[in-house]
Amino acid sequence: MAESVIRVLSFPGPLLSAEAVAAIEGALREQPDAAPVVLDCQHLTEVSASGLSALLELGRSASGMRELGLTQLSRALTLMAIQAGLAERFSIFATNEACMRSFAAAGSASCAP
Amino acid sequence: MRALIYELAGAIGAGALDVAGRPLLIRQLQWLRELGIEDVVVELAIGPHAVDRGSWLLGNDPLTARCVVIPTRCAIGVAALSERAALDDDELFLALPANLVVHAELTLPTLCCTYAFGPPAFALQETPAIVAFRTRGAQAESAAEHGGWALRVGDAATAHALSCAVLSHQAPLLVVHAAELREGIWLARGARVAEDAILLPPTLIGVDARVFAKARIGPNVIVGQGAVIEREAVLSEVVVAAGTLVGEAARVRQAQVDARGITSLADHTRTDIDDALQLSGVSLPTAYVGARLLALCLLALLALPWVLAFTVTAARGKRVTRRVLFRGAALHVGSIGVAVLDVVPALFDVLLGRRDLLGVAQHNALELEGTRAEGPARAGAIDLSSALAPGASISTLLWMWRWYLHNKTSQLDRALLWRALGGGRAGRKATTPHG
Repeated sequence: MAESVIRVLSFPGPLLSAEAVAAIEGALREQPDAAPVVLDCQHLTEVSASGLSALLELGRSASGMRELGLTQLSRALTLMAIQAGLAERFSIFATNEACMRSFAAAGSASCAP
Repeated sequence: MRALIYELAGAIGAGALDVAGRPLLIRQLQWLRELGIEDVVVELAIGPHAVDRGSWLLGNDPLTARCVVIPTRCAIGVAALSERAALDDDELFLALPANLVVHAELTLPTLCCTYAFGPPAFALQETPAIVAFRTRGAQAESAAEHGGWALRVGDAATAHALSCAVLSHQAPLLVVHAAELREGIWLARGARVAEDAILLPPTLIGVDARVFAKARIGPNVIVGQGAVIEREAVLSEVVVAAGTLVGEAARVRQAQVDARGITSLADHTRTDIDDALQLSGVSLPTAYVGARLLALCLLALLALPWVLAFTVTAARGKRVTRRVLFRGAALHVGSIGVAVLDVVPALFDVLLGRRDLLGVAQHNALELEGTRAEGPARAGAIDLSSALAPGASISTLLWMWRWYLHNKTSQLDRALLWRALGGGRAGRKATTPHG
């Protein structure tokens, strides 16, 4: 079986908007396989209602097809994640490396260089 | 060295249980700090009081400044939690179950080891509780007995028993953050008790709580922060949640009381009470004056066709309304249509200060996975639900409701209203500066 590569995607700006999530969705669609993807939230500082609902929908649509991880959430974003139940749709990790190691150990995927 | 506080499958949310005026989670962090451990990873599984626990851990309290919170869907276990927290494979850490209160002086070891603590003398538990120092891949198998004690607190009844033991000086190592007025009677900062109120030990009156005349409180009563006990209320073996108003002459025994109902400490049955004279919240937000004026204007606008219709009828003796069929019933309505009438009772609620003008319509009736969706925000007369998550699934909409109830601001409401009316982007909310 060909080994899949785990990618790390970062949100394009400090705002979690519907457009930012759509950009992530577009990047996911371009991937030829169903390898897990790490979504790096380190640079997110603002959240919009539309962006949050789009992110929840992204997690719901990917459920069962592709593993998605959220990493490096700030304290405020972690609180919002708790309020919005993001843990139900995403696996949340402290760092990108921890997430990639966990995904790699779980399947045949390897970490992207 | 770091500590990991991990959830147990059968005791999700145990960290929120009140132990003599402090949540169990805070008691654990205080004990860890006494040991010299301030870097703590806390697992927070979806379940009861998850948002409350998140607010404590991610707030401004210096005790939690170095806490890392890992939200999870369910209890994932120590190994998985240590992986998500990015602990190294051979890093030694203290694994503490989320439902365990421990009091012991420990010297931090340098190798994997496990300690067994017996229960305190006042507790009914017999089996010892285990606290492990381990790495992700390895832990010591045998448990060495240690002085001190540990108690598994899995439900409100056990937490209440522990609280009463603390107030009675049976568990002296747990600090009560209150002044002892007399043996077993504790008053926290800002608590006010009427002179002719009766307090029976052990009882704790929490921060800024009030007890009015002729109320009889105790024995075994914990009154939460900001709670109000009205005159002639009688409480025994009760935990009153923070911000709860217990009505005049109410009588409660062996229960956990909050603004919406009571939960029996004996059999954990829940009874909802929708009577503000019996139970309510203390600090209900009121609708702003501007919102009330706007509601009055909207009511006048909606009433105008009716007023005109009746005026014309009276003047000309002719009926000017149309007879339409709506859901099988014939209604005489004005030219503005039927659906708008749904908002009229809600606008009256806004005038009376019971609702906000903008918000979600029926959040009190919202159930999410068996738990009530709650938040500080009240229902709104003009429903913004359609703008929260347009086109999303029901499950997403439910989560967005919960998020909204905790993050409602006038700016967010205006943005959602604009979005509901078909314009622009909705709801841009900045995260707090300390995030």
